[in-house]
Amino acid sequence: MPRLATSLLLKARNLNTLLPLLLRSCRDLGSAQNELRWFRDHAVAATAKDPTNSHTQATWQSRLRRMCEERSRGKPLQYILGSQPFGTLDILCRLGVLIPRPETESIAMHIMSYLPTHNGDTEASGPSKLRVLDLCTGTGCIALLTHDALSSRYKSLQILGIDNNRHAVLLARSNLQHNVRQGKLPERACNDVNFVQGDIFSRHAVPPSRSTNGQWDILIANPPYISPTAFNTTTERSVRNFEPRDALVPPSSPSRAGAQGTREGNAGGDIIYPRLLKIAREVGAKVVLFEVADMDQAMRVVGMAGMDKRWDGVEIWRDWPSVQNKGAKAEESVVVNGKITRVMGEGNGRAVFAWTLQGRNMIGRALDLEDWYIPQKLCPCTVHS
Amino acid sequence: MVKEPSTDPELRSLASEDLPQATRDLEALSTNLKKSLIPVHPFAHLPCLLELRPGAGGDEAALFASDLLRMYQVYCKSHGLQCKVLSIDTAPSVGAEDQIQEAVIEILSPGSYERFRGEAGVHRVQRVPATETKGRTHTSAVSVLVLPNFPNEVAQDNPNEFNDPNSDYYVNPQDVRTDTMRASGAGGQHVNKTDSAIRLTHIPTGTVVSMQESRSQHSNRTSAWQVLRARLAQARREAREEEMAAMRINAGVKRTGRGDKIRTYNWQQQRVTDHRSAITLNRLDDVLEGGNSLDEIMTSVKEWLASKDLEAMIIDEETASKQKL
Ligand SMILES: C[S@@+](CC[C@H](N)C(=O)[O-])C[C@H]1O[C@@H](n2cnc3c(N)ncnc32)[C@H](O)[C@@H]1O
Repeated sequence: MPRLATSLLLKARNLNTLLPLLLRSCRDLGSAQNELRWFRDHAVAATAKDPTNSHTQATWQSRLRRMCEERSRGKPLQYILGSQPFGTLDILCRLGVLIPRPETESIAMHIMSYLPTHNGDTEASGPSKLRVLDLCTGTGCIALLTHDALSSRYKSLQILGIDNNRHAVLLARSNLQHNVRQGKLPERACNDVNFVQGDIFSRHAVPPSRSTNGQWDILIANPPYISPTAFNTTTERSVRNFEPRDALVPPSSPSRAGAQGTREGNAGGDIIYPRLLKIAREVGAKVVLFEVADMDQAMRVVGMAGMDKRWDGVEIWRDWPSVQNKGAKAEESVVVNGKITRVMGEGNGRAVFAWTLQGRNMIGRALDLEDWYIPQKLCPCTVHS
Repeated sequence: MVKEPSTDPELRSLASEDLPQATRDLEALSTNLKKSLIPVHPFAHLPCLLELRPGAGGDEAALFASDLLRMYQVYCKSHGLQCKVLSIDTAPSVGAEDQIQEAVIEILSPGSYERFRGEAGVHRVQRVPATETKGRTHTSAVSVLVLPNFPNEVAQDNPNEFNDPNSDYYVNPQDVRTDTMRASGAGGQHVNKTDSAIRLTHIPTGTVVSMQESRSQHSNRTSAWQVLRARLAQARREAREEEMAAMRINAGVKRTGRGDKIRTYNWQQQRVTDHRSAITLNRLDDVLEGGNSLDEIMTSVKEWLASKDLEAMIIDEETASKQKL
């Protein structure tokens, strides 16, 4: 990590003596100032709430200094404050469980916007029942956001979050309670959303449930996707030092070790996706959304989905799939295994979205089904021959 | 009847007793009539946003902005108006937390636009700053903008108004560029820094709204859209008013614009003067506490606005009938 310029540190110190502490983790003055404001608000509020406190004035400042010192050692702000907003929800964060990211929030909200807004009982608008599976649920943020977005549209909603980390499952349950208590989720969420501990590599990864008949309509997952190499080179230091490695890097498969040779460097984070696709098939998912590390991994996952004859269409989403800036390429696509795949939004390649015919009907939104079937010889990039 | 010589004296005295009351009634009637003639402002029924921006005067202006912010907040509270801070940029240095660089508050109660519209303009402060050693009075200013507010719920409940390209409230999403301030790089699981700032640029007008108040990108985006919509609607309205006003200037009527000094708060004399209605109250503290004195000023401004609106209407009417001739 490059050293901070002395002039920057001086400038920061002249503004506020705590800013240089924050700069060590934030790197730029703007973010450091924002963090200082959030820490300050938190310190003032926490001190006011604390009944054991008589010298309020002195203590909120010492609390603030303590938080800034922790931050200067690289501890993420979300662990220090104990939470991260996600959509309109407030997600509790604890060491040992991955902090929800804005990109995850963005793609999760985007898939919700794909689902029909009004869902009565009428034939035309489809069933008023929806089952959503969130694998590798972590804090439970995706599962809970799903409930927030869909509870007004579906009379019957079943959401299940699974994680192999016991602490994650406990935290996800606390998050459900916390958001219901805060009035951010309706009471019924307590019945509609469940979190269980489970390993997606085990044979019965998804527990059989009588009410869903083992079937789930939508499968969403933000699995560990970082390769061991990228973990050491690409992740932020604070991520490496403070967030659980198991949430970021998938296990290396014994059968694959060595066999991949030099390709391991890039594709070492891919191992979970074939497994997720297999589970999708087993539970009869009509739509899947997987978060990925970058465009290359997105294209590899599209390739995997292509080999699996289950899927009738697929799209790649960038970080902000709903943003379509004018002037930017109007329609973007990539070619994977001779098939054109539409790319949505702005930012890094971030997610792969695939659907079956049934899924497409459920979504009831114009998805370019045909694109997926255009053989390469018809693709505009090669048509000149 | 009173002046008629043939009138019975008793009747005359009775009638003259009634006269003051009748005159008062007549005045009230005519005021009401005038009021009912004045077209209702198209944004009158809406909630509003108040934007405070310190102008000339450095720290003093920034401090005064925070005084004004507090004044409006207390006012809202005592009038049962729901109000909430949308964004507030304070000075970053220690001990300067009450120096505001820009603040936007949202007043959610319907009709707030009409209630606050007279507050728009430049508010001037005259006082001796704490740092001033020679005891000199400084003059600084804060400009207050009053914008029509369309909270998301309103937008969702009135899709027609918001989707009609001819409406003041319409913003074509295609015209808006969104920039996410998420640091460049790998993003996703690789990064845990909070980069939640959002910048919207309305390309046709070059209007830029940046929002970094919240740790939630989602909430920053929502607020940024709200402010953008409000600024564009106000600008469109002002452009039309400007056009009308330009025609009236030929007819000799002056108008106050957003750059005009509307009110002075003088600390030494404990006085507040509104330069439009020409009201002066020697109750500075009560005004700043959002008390009855502020109400009194706002009411006098309301009457002044109404008289201006009426004047404008008469001129428009005259111009129209001249054109007919
Ligand atoms: C990148 S985190 C995602 C957490 C959360 N969904 C989010 O978006 O913030 C991946 C999660 O997968 C869990 N996980 C890793 N391996 C797993 C496995 N084999 N079975 C189930 N969960 C696993 C980790 O414990 C971690 O909570």
